[in-house]
Amino acid sequence: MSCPHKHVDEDAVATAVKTTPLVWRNLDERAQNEAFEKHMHREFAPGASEWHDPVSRRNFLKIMGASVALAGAAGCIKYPEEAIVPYVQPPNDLLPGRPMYYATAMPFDGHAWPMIATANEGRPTKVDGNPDHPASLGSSTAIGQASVLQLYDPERAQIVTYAGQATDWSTFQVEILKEMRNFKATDGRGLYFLMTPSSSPTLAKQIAEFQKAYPNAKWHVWEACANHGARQASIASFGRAVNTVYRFDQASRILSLDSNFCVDEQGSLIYARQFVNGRRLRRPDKKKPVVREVIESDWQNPTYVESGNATMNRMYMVETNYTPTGAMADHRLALPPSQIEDFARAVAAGLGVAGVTAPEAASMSEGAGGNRGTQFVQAVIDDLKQAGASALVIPGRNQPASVHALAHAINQQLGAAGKTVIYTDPVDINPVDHVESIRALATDMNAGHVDTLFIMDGNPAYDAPADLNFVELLDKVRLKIRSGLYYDETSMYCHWHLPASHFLESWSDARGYDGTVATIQPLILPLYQGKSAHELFALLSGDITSTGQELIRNSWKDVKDDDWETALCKGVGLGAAPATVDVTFNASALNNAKAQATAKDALEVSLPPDPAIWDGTWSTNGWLQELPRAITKLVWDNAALMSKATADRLGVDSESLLQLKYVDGAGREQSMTVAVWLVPGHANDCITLTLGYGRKNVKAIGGVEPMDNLGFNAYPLRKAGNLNYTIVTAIPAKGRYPLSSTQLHQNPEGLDLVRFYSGTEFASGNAEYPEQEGYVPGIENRQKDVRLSLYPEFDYAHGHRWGMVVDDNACVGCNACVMACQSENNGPIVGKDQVSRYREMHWIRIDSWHFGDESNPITVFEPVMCQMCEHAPCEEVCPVNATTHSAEGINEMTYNRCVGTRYCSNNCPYKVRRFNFLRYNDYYTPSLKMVRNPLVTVRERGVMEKCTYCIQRIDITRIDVKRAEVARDSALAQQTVDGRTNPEYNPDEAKRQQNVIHDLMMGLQTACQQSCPTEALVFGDMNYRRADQKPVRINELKNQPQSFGLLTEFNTQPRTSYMSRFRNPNPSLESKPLFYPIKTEEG
Amino acid sequence: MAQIFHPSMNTVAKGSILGAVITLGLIGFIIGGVVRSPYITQEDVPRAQPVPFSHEHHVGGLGLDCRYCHTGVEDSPFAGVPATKICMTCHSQIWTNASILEPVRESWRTNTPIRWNRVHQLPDFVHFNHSIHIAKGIGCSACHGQVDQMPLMWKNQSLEMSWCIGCHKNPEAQIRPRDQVFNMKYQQPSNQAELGAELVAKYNVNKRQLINCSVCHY
Repeated sequence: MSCPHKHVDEDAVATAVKTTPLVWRNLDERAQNEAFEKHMHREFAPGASEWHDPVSRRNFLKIMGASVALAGAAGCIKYPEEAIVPYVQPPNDLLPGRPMYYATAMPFDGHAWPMIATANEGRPTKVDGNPDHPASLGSSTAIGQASVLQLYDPERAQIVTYAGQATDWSTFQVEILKEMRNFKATDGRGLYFLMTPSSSPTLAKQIAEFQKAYPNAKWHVWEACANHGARQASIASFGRAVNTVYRFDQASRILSLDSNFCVDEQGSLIYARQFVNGRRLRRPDKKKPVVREVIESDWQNPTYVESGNATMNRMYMVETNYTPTGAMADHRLALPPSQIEDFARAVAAGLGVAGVTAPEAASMSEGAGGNRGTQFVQAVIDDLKQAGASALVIPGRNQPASVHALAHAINQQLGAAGKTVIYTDPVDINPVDHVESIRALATDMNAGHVDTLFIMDGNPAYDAPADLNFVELLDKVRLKIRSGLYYDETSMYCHWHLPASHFLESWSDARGYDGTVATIQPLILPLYQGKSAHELFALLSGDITSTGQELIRNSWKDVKDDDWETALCKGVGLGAAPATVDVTFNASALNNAKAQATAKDALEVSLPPDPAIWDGTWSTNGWLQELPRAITKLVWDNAALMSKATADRLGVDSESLLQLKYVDGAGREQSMTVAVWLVPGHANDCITLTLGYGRKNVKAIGGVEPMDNLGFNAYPLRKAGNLNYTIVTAIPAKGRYPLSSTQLHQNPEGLDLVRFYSGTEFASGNAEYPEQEGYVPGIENRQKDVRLSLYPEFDYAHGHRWGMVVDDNACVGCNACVMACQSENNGPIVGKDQVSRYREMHWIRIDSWHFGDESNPITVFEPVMCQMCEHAPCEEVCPVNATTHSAEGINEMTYNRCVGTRYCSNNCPYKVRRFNFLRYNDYYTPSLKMVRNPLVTVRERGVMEKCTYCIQRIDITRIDVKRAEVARDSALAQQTVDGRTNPEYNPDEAKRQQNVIHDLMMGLQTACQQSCPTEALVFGDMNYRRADQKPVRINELKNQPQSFGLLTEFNTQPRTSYMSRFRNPNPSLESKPLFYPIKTEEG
Repeated sequence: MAQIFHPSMNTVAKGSILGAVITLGLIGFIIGGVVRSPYITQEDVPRAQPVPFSHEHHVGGLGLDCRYCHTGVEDSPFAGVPATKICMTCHSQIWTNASILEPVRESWRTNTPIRWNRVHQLPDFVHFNHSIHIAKGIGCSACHGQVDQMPLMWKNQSLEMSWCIGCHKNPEAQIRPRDQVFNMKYQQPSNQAELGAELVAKYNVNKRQLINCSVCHY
């Protein structure tokens, strides 16, 4: 993309002295190297105007010639004849054309995300967070958003199979009941179950009953990416299983020990919200000082913490890979996985935790921090000590039990336990240590004790620890029965495969991260022959008649019918969060054993779950595969992530191959080849390789390539003794592996696209911000600021005036908005090859801008979607009026007018328009037709598209508001009849309709906004006047002094505005707070 | 060298150029005409149905209100085609043995929907909403015609975009008092222009917004 505002003289660029830019997007840009220059000099993406179908150009012309001729003929053909098929007996409350909403929840990782699912004429098409449930408060995660695609995945197991051959449930039923009768004689000896963790109270009851009937049956649990360290440490530290809940709303100083708590902890939706709440600085009134704003659940009605001076929390992060939470940290130290425990121990010792000795200072001086390590530890100790009970230490899910125990000890020592950290009964129905559990199972399998093995969900043949040799042990089991959504690696080794039902097809119950019960109800009958775990257990117990609904209802039979209905309607109400439990910390949980030092030429490989496809369960989900991962922006692949220093030492670069030599489960030397990707801020002398890739015989939805060729399987590296990381030796290998990363795609070019300041300076009012050309905060001022334009100004004084605010200070880069947008707006999947040609189709992208040193950058996430310019450059160049301006200020995109010239995209300085170079939408797979939102056109090849502010939601709300206005006005008209006061006039009706209007206006959210856990995106009508005279939230935010616009120097007058990021650096580590943009002499 | 073409060929050449233009124009005109003709748009062409349901009998004869069967018309984008259950509210009591109603009874017995042939069909990129038109005083007959006189249903209008836009640009021509929306026999008064302007103001019709693309296309 060339610089849109000035001509780039190539010679001048070549001869200019290369200076390191202050903000940069990737390491090439920072180094201003050839690759980056080449990228910048190219006006269009590589291959932007070439034909990349297998069809040759010659064939294309032939086909096109024929198409033109046929199109002429087709114009004379009558409209296709369609049928209308109404119901025989319409379901209650259903009005065709109006979606229905149901409260449900998605079980994940032993807890549940409460959801509201949308059904259009019986098809679930969208899921969102449940605002009534304390574990969601309306927000959702990227994986949660993509779960609706999984329901319609054509790769799902559809029938019961025995030894790979199709059979049916009744055959299985006969067989299994025969087996169960035999087991009855031995009380279930030799009957083993391997399950994934669950939080379902009903399942707990069913298992307890089953155990009563078959006392010798054994229960094992394994989930590859569960929080193993927390489970182990809880038993060791407190002598019992507890659930640790963190209260970020009570915390002023936070230390994260490799915890990506804004994104991948069980309570992340709430943790991210509470953490960001502690950092929102607002000036509620122009005359008042800056205070902190807190949004509990109703985002339209925030409260303000008048604390005299604005207090922000401060977060320290110690981690290996650069995670989104790390980017939110005020100070960050990158350490190899083995040294994070050293760091935790140094902090514990510094705070005076009994029984902990500080490691030698030298052990943290390696790593990316250099000798920053020691200084960093001291600053953290001092700050935590000062904060006392309002400090919070959270260990990561990828950390060993020892780090979790140290975190417990530090929280106890600081007095934080009970305040910022609370302990409750476990959410998990079987809170055992998974590693011990699967190891015990492996021992029994090896000893031949296992006669029949039920594997319910999970995929142990793929993801069990490598040293257990699980696949070989399966041979020693007489009968293997598998229940799961997919016929996967594990199913191939099992006799029976039983299709499981998706959560949107089944009745169940579950608990949120805090223990509050959520109900799970189906929106659709099972598409295939799936059965839920409850139905399967009922079948094993000989109950072949009860439906899933009856099983769940009977398990809650104490609940009255009315309460049950309410609980189903709200998704919450069956059980509140469990009370906190008193625990005493057992210091013997702390061991001072030093982790084995890694040899000089060896590298540690950290093995976290993939941010999108998690442990591999979501491999087939094309939406998640194509989701640009935070920071790396990689899609469709994992890679060996490492720092530039490490790559230089090894002699490799991004996309080159690296051979990793490791010891496999059987103790043999093995090697695997992985592609390298350089990441700023990664710890030195170690690699991060995410789990979940390299699966066999898996095809992702929308994926052109078979998955076998995508990514690298990291599970062979993972052993039961240390799931966290493994040690390898690495040598460069020949060849290259192309990776697709969107980091430099669709970039805007201009001044100061991102801003960050010190929060304290902002609050004190002493900070001087460079003024932005073409932008004045505050909507009243904006109108005064309208500058010369060739086109007439629009008049927005009447009707709606939609606008948006994006708060960079709140965006944690979790990607939920990207998924929500794709789900809401029928976004297609384009595949890895098309992404490498800059053709990804996401309407919203999260730009990550780095500032400063490549080993320890400051990073700001900035979601960018169509800015709805009031002087829109795209509108002026469209030759067919396919993109126009609406009376409400929306830049409309009319697909059926678009002829695909792409002028608009070329003229868009924000690069937010997406073009359908090929027919990306799958028109043929029947099940995938069902996932589409019927209110949004499915775009054809050759059509431009972009963010519409979710115009379909706006339209339906506008219509409903108008209908309510009509009803209100006709109610008011009843006041008089024939000029006399009407005695039967009821003033409540008009008031009720006015409330309907208010609720509709306040409830209107775009899909991205609805999913956001931190309210980083706020949408609304800038002309709406509330009855209570409070300012509409969007206007309040636009009036904030930290408000700014993107590329306003071009006089585009974007309707979307941004708010700058605030940092809260510790003066002892950063005496002069850094900020950006910096005033330079050139301006 | 002798002349190949006789001088009169000049006239023929000019004539044929003109002729070609006229012919092409004519072809274009004919294609345009055919595309807009009822042959293509199916305007005024009655559509056969599995059950020969007569609006003439039910609406014109018996005086049933539109909303008795089209239940969604006030609240939903779709007016809604009645479920078999609605047919059976009456026809389980009257005409219980009529042979033409056998498909209805069969649908009820076997719980299989009746497949009606669609009469009014818009392309998928057009999002028409019944409820707002009803709320703002656009009568059923404004688009659907005198349904009370249609033994079998047909399209009264072409449903082309130019026809939609005609009213969206000038809603005064079609708007009527809200209490007359479902009146099939409604006749526009002689002062429609004044009444229309008055009603447009009274019902708060935002004319600037009515002609935005995104009102129908998204």
